[in-house]
Amino acid sequence: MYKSLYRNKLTTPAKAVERVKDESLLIYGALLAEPPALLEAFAERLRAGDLNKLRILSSLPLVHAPKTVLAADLVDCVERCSTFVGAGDRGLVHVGLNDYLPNHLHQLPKLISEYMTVDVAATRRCFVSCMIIPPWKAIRFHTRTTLQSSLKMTT
Amino acid sequence: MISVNSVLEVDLFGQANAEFMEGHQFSGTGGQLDFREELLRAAEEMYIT
Repeated sequence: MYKSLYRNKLTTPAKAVERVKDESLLIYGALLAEPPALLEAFAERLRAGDLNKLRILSSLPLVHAPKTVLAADLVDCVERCSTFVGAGDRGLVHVGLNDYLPNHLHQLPKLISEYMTVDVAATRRCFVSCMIIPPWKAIRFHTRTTLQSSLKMTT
Repeated sequence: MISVNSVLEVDLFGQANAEFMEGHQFSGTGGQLDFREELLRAAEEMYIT
């Protein structure tokens, strides 16, 4: 039963991001949960002019986000804010093109669920991230809270 | 057991800076406080932030 449900829900990255509207707040999985194909699909829509504005909350963007949705050529159409600065967004924060939201990691789930209206959550399954020790636990909770917040929006 | 967390700068009063370097945001507050709070709960623990 679950296999057929899963198969029915399978789609392409482009199709998955098709319904996202302008001005949506996107939160994507942190670290190993960064979803490369979905972020690329968002970047393609933005570059094509199909999406004019996207708001993104990042937490330590690593490899894929800086190459796609956080790329410098998308500065005009992506409003970005980071909860932890890393190699991927440090340059943008430095020149004022990316905001930084000071916080303690354990506060992230509260900040997201009580102060933000999440429109889209993008992540990928990653078993390794579930084994990482605290304080990274907070990032796991952050991803889970993000998903729950966006689910609340759709139900 | 001794637990050690990384910092960028520390002074003789034990004040630590882990997120700001050369006038710019380098990382984030992140888990610095979380790390200390957990270790304060562990009575036998020694920690260096």
